Amino acid sequence: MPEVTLSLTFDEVSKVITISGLSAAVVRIDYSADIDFTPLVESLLDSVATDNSFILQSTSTENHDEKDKLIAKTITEIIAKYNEVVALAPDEEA
Amino acid sequence: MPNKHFSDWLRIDLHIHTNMSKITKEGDYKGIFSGDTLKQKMIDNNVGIFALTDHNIINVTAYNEYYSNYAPTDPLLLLGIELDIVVTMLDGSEKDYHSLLIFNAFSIDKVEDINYKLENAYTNKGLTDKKNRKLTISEIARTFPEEEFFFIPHAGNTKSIIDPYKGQIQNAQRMLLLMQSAFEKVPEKAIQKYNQGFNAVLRDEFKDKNDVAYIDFSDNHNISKYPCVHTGESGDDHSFYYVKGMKSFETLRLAFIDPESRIKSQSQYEEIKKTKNAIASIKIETHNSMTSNELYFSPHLNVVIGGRSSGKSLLMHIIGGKTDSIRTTTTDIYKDIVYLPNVKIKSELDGDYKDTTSIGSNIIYINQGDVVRYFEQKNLEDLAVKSSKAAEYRSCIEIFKEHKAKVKEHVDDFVDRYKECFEYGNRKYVLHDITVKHIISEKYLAELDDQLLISKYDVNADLLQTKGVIDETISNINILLNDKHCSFLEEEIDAVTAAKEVLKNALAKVCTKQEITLKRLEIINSVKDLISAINLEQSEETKARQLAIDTRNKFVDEITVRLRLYKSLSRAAKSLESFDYSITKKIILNEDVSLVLEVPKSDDIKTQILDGLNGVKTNQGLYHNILSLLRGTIAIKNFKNNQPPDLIKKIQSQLNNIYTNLEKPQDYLEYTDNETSKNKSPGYNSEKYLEIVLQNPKIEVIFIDQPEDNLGNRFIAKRLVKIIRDIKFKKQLFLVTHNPSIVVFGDAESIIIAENHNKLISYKQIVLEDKSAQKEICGILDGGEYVFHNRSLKYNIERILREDENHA
Repeated sequence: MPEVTLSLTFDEVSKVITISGLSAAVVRIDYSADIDFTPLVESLLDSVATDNSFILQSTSTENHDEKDKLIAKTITEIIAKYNEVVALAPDEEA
Repeated sequence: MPNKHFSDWLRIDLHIHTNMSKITKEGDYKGIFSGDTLKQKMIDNNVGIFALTDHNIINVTAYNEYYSNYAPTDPLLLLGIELDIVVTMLDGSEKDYHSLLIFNAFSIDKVEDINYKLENAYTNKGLTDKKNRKLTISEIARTFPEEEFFFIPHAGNTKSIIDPYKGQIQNAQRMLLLMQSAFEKVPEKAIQKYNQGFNAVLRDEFKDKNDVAYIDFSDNHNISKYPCVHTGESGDDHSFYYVKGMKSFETLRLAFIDPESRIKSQSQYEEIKKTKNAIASIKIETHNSMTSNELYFSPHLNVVIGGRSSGKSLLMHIIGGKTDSIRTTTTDIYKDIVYLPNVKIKSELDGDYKDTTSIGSNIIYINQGDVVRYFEQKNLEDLAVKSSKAAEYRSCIEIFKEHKAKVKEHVDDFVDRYKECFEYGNRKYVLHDITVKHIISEKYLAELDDQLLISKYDVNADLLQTKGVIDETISNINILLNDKHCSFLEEEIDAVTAAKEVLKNALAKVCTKQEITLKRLEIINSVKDLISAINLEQSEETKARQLAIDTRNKFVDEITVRLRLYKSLSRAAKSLESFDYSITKKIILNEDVSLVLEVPKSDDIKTQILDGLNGVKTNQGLYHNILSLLRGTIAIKNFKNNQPPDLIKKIQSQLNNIYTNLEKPQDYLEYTDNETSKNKSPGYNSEKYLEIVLQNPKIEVIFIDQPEDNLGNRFIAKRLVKIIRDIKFKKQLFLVTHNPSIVVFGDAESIIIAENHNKLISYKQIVLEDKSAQKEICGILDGGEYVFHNRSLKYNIERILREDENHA
C-alpha cells in the first residue's frame, strides 16, 4: 500500500491549519472559532479510492495552546482511522 | 464385372504396330504378328480401347480378323495410322514428322473405305515407293474431308512436329488448336513450356485451361512381348494411360477436350485408386412409390438431376439414411422410404448389400438451403446442431448467461453501496469552539486510557491466525490419511491420529483465549462507560467536559463510518468499471471453420453508466463521478435528487444492451484464412463456407442438396466448378443439382436422372460420353445446351482470333 506524507502546519496568527499532500489542493481549516473538518473529510473521501495511506508530519505543538493540541490530536486520529479503513480487506469493510 | 453405369477408367493404347509396318519401313517390326495374340494381349492387359497404327499403311486384314470375331465385351479397336507428314520449312527445304490419325471408325467397311482413300492419296501423288510415303497436312485434310479423326503428332525427340516448324512454331500451334488433337511422346518437363507456347496464341479467356492433352502409348512393334515399349529391346514395359468413360470414340473426344479430368497416367491413376472407402451402390426392391433399381456410384462426382418433385432429394436421403455416420433430418414424406428394409446399400469394402453401411465419420451432409439459411436467418445454432456440436453450443450459451449474472452482481453491489452512502447523507463535521473549550478546561475528570488497554489485551487477530493454521493442518492430515499413495501402516495411523488430537487440544486452548479476550474487551468498554457515567454525575463543569469528550469521540467515529462506506463504494465502483463484459467462445465445427459466440466490447461499463449522467468528468473514474453525484454537483439524466432507485433504473437502461447481448450473443463463423462471416452477405458466406468445407482434406464423402441455391452464377462457374474438379478424385461427392455447369464442367462421373411418372419414382444412370445422354441432360437442365456448346469451344477459331487482330 503506497504511503503518502501529509504536512500539517498551524498559522497561529490567522488561525488557519493547512494540510498539504492529500490532493492537488491544500486543505485549509479555520480554527479561529468553531472548527470545520468537512474539507478534510471530503478530501479523504476522494482519496479513499487511491488506497494510499497517509503519514502525518506536523510541526511540534509542544509550545502551542491546548486547543491547537486538541485539533492536532483530532486530525491525527482521523488520519489514523482513514489508514485503518483503506487497509481493510473487502470482507471487513461492512 | 457389372456394367457400372458410371464413367470409370479405361486403359488405352492407340499406338500399336503390326507386321505391315515392315512394308513401309525397313525392318520396322520384330517377331511374328498374330491377330489372336493381339486380342489376347489386349484382354490380358485390361486395355479398353486400342488402335493399330502402322506407318503410312493400314493392315486391313488385321482389322477384318478382329471385327469379324468382335464381341461387345472385347476391347474396342479403332482405326489408326501413323503418317509421315512433310512440311516445307522457311528455307524451302522439307522435313517430316510423325503423327497418329485415330479415326472414328470401328467396322471393316469403314476401314476399307479409309484405306482406299489413303492408298489413292499416295497413288495420286505418284508415290509408288511404299517406303517413301509422305503427305502434307493439306493433302491429309483433302484425303479425309468427311472423316472424324484425332491428330496425335509426336512432339518429343524423334520425328517431332516441333522440328519442321522451327521459326514458324505459332503456325503449328494455331493449326493444332483448331484440330481434335493430343500430343504423344512429350517429356514431362517440356509440358509446361508447351502450354506456355499455346497460351501465347490463345485469347485471354482460353488461357491456362489445362486443356491440351499429353498422352503416351506403347508404340509396340512386337506383339508377343506386349506391353513392351517399341520392339522390347530396352526391356521396359509400357506405362499405360487411362481415359475415363466407356469404350467409344466419344470417350476419347471428351478426354482430349478435358484431359485434366479425363486422362491419367499410370501413377496418377494409382493415386486416385488409393481413395478410401466409398459408397458403391444401392439396391431398391419394389415399392409402391419407387421402381426397383440398382444404382452404382462413382467414387468421384455423382450428380442427381431431374425435374421438380422427381425424387432427387429423396435419393440423397436414402443414401444418407443408410449410412451410419450420417444424421439426416429426414422429413416425414421420406421417412417410410428412407428406412425401408428392402432398400440396401453397399460400400466398396462391403462384401454384400446391407441395411446400413459404415463409411467412417468424415462425412459432410448438407440439405437443400441449409447453408444459406444459416446466414440469412442467422441460425448458426442450427449449423452447430448439424455439426454435432449442440451440447457445446448450449454450454457456451450458459457461460454467457453466467457472465451476465456476474455483471448484474457487480451492478447490484455498486448500487447497494451507493444507497448506503446516499442514506448516510452529506454531513458537516464541525467541532464547536465551546466543545473544544470544555475539553481543554482543567476541570477534574476521571479518565481511562482505553486504547492503551485494548492494544495490550486485544490479541484476537493473532488468535484468529493461529486458529486458521490449526484448522488447515487438521484438514490436510485428514486428506493425507485418505490418500491412497501414502498407504500408512496401522501404527503410523495411530501416530497421525494422536497428532491430530494434540492439534485439537491446541485449538480448544485458542478458543478459550478468544473468549477471554472478548471478555477483557467487554470489561474495558464497561469500565469506560462506567467512568463516563461517573463523570456525568459530577459538577456541571465536569459533566460538560465529559459530554464534550464524548461528542468529539462520536465525531471521529462518524467520520470513520463514512470513510468505511465510501471505501466500500469505491471498491464496488472499481470492480464494476474494470469488469470486462466482453466474452468470446469458439466452437470448432471442423478444422477449417469455427463458430464464434461473442459479445464484443464497445463502450466500457463506466462510459455507458456515465452516459446516463449530466455533468460528468469522463477523465475521472466511476467512483469520483459517483462521489459528485452524492454531493449533488452532477445529476442523473431525466431524474431529480439522485435517488438510489433512479440510479438503479438509469444503470439498468444504460446497460440494457450488454444484458441483451449476453442473453443472445452474436454468432459468426471464423474461417481459417482469418476471414469471418461478420458483415458479409449470406451469399458470400455460403460461398465461403462451401469452399472451405469442400476443400477440407479430412472430409472423405460429401453430400449437398442443390449447392447452387443462392450462390452467385459467377461463383458457380468460376470457383465451385473448379473446386469440385480439384477435389473429386480425392473424395466422393453426391450433389443434387439443377446447374448444368456443375454437371458438364464438373465433368460428373455419374449422372443419375430422377423421374416421377404418376407418383412412381424411378432412377436411371447416364454418362457424359454417351451422346444421347447429352441430349437428355440438355432437356433436363436449363442452359445445358449453352454449357455443352461452351465446352466444345476448345476446337474453335474464336480461341485464337485476337481482338487486336480483329481491329486491325
